Amino acid sequence: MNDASIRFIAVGHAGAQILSGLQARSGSSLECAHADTSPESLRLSLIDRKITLGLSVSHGLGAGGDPEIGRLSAESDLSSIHEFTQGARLVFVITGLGGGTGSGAAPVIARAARESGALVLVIATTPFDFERRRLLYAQEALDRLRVSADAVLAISNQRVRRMHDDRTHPHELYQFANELLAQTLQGLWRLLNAPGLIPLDFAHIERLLRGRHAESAFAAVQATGENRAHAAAEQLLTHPFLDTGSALTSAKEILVSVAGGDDLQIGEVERLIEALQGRCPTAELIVGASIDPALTGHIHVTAITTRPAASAPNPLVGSGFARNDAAPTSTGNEPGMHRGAPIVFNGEDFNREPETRATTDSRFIPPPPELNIEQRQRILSGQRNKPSRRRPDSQMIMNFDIAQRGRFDNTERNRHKGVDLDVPTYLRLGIVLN
Amino acid sequence: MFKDSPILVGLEIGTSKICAAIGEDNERGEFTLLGIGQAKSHGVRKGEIVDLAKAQEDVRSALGNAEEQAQVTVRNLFLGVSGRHIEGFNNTGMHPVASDDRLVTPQDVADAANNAKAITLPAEHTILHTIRQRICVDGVEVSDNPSGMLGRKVEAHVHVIYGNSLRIQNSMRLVQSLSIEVNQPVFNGLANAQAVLTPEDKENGALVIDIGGGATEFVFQQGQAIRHSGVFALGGDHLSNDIALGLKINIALAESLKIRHGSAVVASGSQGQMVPLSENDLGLSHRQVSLEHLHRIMSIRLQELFELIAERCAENCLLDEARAGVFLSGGCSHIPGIDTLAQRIFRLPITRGTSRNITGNSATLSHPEFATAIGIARYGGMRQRNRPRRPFNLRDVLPFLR
Repeated sequence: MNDASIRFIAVGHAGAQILSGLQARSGSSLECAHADTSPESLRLSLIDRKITLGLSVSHGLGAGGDPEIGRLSAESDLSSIHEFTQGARLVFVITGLGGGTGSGAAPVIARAARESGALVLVIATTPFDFERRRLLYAQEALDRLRVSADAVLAISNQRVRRMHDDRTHPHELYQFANELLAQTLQGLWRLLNAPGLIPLDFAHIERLLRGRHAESAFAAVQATGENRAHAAAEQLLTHPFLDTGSALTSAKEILVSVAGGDDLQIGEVERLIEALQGRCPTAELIVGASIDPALTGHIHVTAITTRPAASAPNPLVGSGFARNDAAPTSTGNEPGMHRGAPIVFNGEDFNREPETRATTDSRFIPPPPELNIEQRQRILSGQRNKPSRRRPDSQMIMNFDIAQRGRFDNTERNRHKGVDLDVPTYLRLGIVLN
Repeated sequence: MFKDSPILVGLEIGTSKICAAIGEDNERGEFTLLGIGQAKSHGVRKGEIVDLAKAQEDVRSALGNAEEQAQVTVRNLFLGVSGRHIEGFNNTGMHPVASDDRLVTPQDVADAANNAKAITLPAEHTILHTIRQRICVDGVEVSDNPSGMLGRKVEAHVHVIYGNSLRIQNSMRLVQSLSIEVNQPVFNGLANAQAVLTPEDKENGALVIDIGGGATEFVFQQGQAIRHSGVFALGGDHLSNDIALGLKINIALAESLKIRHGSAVVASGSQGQMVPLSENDLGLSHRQVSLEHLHRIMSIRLQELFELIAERCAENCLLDEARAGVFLSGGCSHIPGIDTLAQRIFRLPITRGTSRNITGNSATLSHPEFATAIGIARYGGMRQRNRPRRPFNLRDVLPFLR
């Protein structure tokens, strides 16, 4: 896969910050673009390719924190998005949710990218808990993103906040979050580009993520030193993006890419995988390894996981995964089912009770996006001008049966093709008598 | 004396009235009406009994009236049944000709007809009538009696009318509780067609619609065969109810308004015209209602009813074959303009059905609302001519009750 088929779009100011960090890490070889509603932010951006959204909508004033303006802006400039994503196989949409541009435009852009045939991964940050209004916008945007993107990785600023003490400078906090995201992105990018010792390619990622709708999460870590393989495994298992590891332990499949310098040893890869497999007995590990001379002395591990679509993920608490402990599900790991995968480590049941392993459907059928009523209502209400803060069930249903059947009230319904013939015809046809 | 000219009694337990017809049948098949009795019905909704005690009282009084007029005592009768639980459908039974010489025997035909009856009915439903439509030998339509012909298989096309046995049994028990035997339950629509249609009409093909108080039956008859039949639980009661709800008056006023000023089409002169609600002046101020609204409410309801029937008949492309047109009977056929409305929907000649081929009091016969009761008695006569008389056995109709 060449560089040109992976594109990065930063949406809004926060997205641009993260993407700039990534660009700084991996040089300028990335295909990046910065889409924003604010010309001011674009002017300051370090990213070369700039896409102005919705000049005709906001007249250069930006979205002003209103996701509706962000959405309209993105829709008015869809053609330039399409132009950028044309021919891409993988598009990263990077954004910070809660503001107008990120929350409004990112779902539109993700959809546009998907329409041009690419696999779309969204990397997003969500606001702090004290930002009530922005949190609502972010939640809505996430729900929309789940529909329009193949995978959404959301990292909550609040989660990052908890990893720091009270005296931390806010700037430092943002820096840290951006760093984590950039690191992860870089890991993914390397996975796709670095020459493979045990190659993993786009097809693997696509098979893992396509149609999963946010039931996936990814993270990248690096470690150095003597015991670097073990340290990397530990880092992964406590990584905030992976729900402090619970995303791994309940995962169905984990794609692990190990990158190292010339000094990478097969024993290290083995130890790493064993450490992971020991903690994730139900998961099937798909392992790739690559060599990058620049990484000598380091080990970089990127993990992508999926699990069967079950509960609605609540990314506001930290990652793309729900925090509620869904019953661990796993596959029946028949060998030979995955001939395409480079190495298959069959998950063996080490410590768990047998009943915790539930068989699931064939994993070759991607699960349909499962939305519960609340989510559906939220998506529907999100299509209105302003986000609804009413409880979804608050709308009353008017009882039309009052006195309509008159003297036939207590008789058997006279149903014919879905209508009750006892109800006066003029009422059913809506003919007004006046 | 009774053996020579059996007394035939037809009883219709309708939603608005209960009607008993007493007549006699001579050997030439001519039917003479001897007496008719009717009573206002209180215990029936949409063609089905909802209050046994009231219905029993009304039946007793209707039968009493008829007995008085005909000067006979009723011991057994044919009972008309209706209600939306009754359905008609066409079925085909096949029987291979087993003999070596491929000669069709009467038994083969009977077997084919029996096979056509062997259908899976919903639970607690029973067959009321099976009417042969046509007999085919090797796919070629032949006369009713193909015995003696050669062929490999006999097909019997029949029309099956079935209904909920418990509801049929309800009305049968009601009559039996008056110590009167029920010869056979008869589907009202079928009976109505027998009263309304002349042999020529039947030959040409006719659609008979009986719009009663709570139910509307329709039967499409061609020759001796019933091509289609069905019931909609819609009738004059629905008109009154619609009017009551639409004009915000009580049912009794709506009923009288319907009879005095009703129309099935919106008359051109009715725009802006008001009619007083009550005629007797008790010093209360008159309320007036718009005639146009009254007509519109009625027109829409009746139009829907006709459209429902037309839709059902169109499923079998029957309307093109109704060369004798559409016959309307039942109380609602009195509504002015109903023929215009029916004409607009069916695009066929419309006849207001009266009882024909029957001798008796012509004033009574010309009333379309009596056609069903007369038809039931007449149908009974036809049955009795065709087969030796035998009291109706409940177990014949309700096999599952054993």
